[in-house]
Amino acid sequence: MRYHTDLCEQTFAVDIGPDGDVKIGDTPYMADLRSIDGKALYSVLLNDRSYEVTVEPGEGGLYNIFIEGELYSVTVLDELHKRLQRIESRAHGPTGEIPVKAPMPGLVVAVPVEVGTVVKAGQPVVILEAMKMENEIRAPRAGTVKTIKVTKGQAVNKDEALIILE
Amino acid sequence: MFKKVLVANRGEIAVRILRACHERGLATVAVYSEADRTALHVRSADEAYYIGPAPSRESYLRIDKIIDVAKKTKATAIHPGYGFLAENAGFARACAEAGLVFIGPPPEAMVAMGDKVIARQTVKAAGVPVVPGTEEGISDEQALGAANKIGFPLLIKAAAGGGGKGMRVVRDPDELPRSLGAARREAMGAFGDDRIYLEKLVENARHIEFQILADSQGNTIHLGERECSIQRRHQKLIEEAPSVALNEELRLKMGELAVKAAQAVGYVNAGTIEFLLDQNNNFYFLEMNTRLQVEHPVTEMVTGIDIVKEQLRIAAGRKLRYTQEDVKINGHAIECRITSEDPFNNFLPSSGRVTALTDPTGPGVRVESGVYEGMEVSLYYDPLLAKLLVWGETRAEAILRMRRALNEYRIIGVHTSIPIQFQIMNSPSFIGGQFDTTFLEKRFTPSSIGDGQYMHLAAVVAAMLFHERRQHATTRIMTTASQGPSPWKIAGRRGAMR
Repeated sequence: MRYHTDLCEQTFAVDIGPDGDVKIGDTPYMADLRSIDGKALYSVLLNDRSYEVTVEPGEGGLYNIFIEGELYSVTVLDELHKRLQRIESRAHGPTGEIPVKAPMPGLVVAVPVEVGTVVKAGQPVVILEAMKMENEIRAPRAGTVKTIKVTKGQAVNKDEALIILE
Repeated sequence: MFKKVLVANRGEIAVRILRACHERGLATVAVYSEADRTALHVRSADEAYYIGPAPSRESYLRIDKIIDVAKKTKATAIHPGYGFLAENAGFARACAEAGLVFIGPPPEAMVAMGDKVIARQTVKAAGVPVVPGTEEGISDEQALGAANKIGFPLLIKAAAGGGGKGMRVVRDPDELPRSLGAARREAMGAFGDDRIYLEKLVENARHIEFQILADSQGNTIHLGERECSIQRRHQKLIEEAPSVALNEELRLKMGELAVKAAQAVGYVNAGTIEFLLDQNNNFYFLEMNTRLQVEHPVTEMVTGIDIVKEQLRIAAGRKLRYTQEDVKINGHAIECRITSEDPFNNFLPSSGRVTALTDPTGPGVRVESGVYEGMEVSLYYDPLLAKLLVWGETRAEAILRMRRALNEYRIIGVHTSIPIQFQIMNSPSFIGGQFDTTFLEKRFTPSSIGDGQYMHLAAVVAAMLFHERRQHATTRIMTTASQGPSPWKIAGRRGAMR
């Protein structure tokens, strides 16, 4: 079975055979993957080299893989979805609305933008207090503030939309 | 000596203090908030009492409730740990009024060092150099005026502060108003006091601190220095002892002045004198922490002195067991503060259930931990989960050992600082001892993927898990499949037989 893995701005085709034999492009590997805790921790033998990795699955085929102090964010697509993705990206540019979500529960201490503010990628849009520290929540990319969904002093939950950018 | 000690704290430091008490045969009392019924300190203590809801101002900062528990349980001494009430002179006084021994300095010494202006004047008079700055509690207009005199870059600091809370670096005069607002809000939230002051920022400085022990009979010694320059937003991330920046002569000079600074306020018990050391070996008194420090075990590992036990002895009125000549620095120790913050996402606090936990072990490793498998990490308190310490004969051995130990550490369920500390242990400037307090901002770029040596491994793991999940989805109807060995186990066995 062939999959496409996107990581580090590269795409690798991974062929998974029936017996733990795996190919990345033309490079063959023997891979043995075992769960240690039934959840997130895996022991991997890749061509007999032993590794331990922690895996955090996300949405849409995303896997965050932690290995020796490094984090690899890998998105896996099968052949069909890879083709669909190509068609879609040709049809639409990267536009639309983007919610800026609270990465953790906290208290809104300031909203340094207004509706209509043009923000740069990385610009702070909400100041959230959690664990007694003020954390700047930044715009994931450039855009215009369309809606502000929170006010100063409001407690918010994790993943709650704070601001909508367009 | 008192027989029963109440520990007015939580997390790893409460556990550390409970251990010292238990080793000395003292009975212990823990207090806990609603969020902490099953926390490690509650489980480790002989007795435990509920003192209020999760927010610390309704529980761990409630002087009245904590003193009530002490009276009720007939505890005769209170250890405040660090943070919370540790540097609150009102608490120390309340203990004294209730006839309880406060395991820490006398309230007068705490007040003298807690008021930054008095502290600076006092130590300056004792011959200790200080950093130029303003009085505390100045208005925004006064700050704007004073800033030009001090010059940029400068620091805004909370008068009631500590631990980097309410502190801001200002490089550009235009940033000052915004930073003043942020610093005041943070100080108000953390200490209930939004008074601030300004201080010149000594650039490319190292943060060097001296551990002090003083008994009530007038004996004051230091246990050498700790290097605490690896900081992020003025929160220490890694500490070590001894510092590569000090030679014997400088150590002697700084140590003597640290002792003088402590004596100048009549200090008793364990405390820390913080200095900034610039590249030309000029050093300035920064402040005194009138409490046990987070990083005290670094000193314990190179001196062999149990600082918490000494605190208990000193509080009981005993004489110090050591003279300055007895203190010998042996080998090298490093500490990593393991916090529940995501280094790959701007260090945002992370919460959740710790689903799996394996502490590193083996030669030269010490773990001071407040977590256990199954514990819920909340966002109510400090993100410090545990401290990982290593000892080595040399700094090089200690670094290699820390790398090894960090690599063994498994905390699953919350994001932790471990990856970044692992990367720092591999950083040439850290290994070479070439760093200052701006290391994390300037000389080190946290990289999620380093040189990308594990790209193929990551791609294979992700594809195999995706494949497995899909196979499960399509064969869900065959329920027996889930009871047998996983297809990957079979594949692995087949592979091994080839």
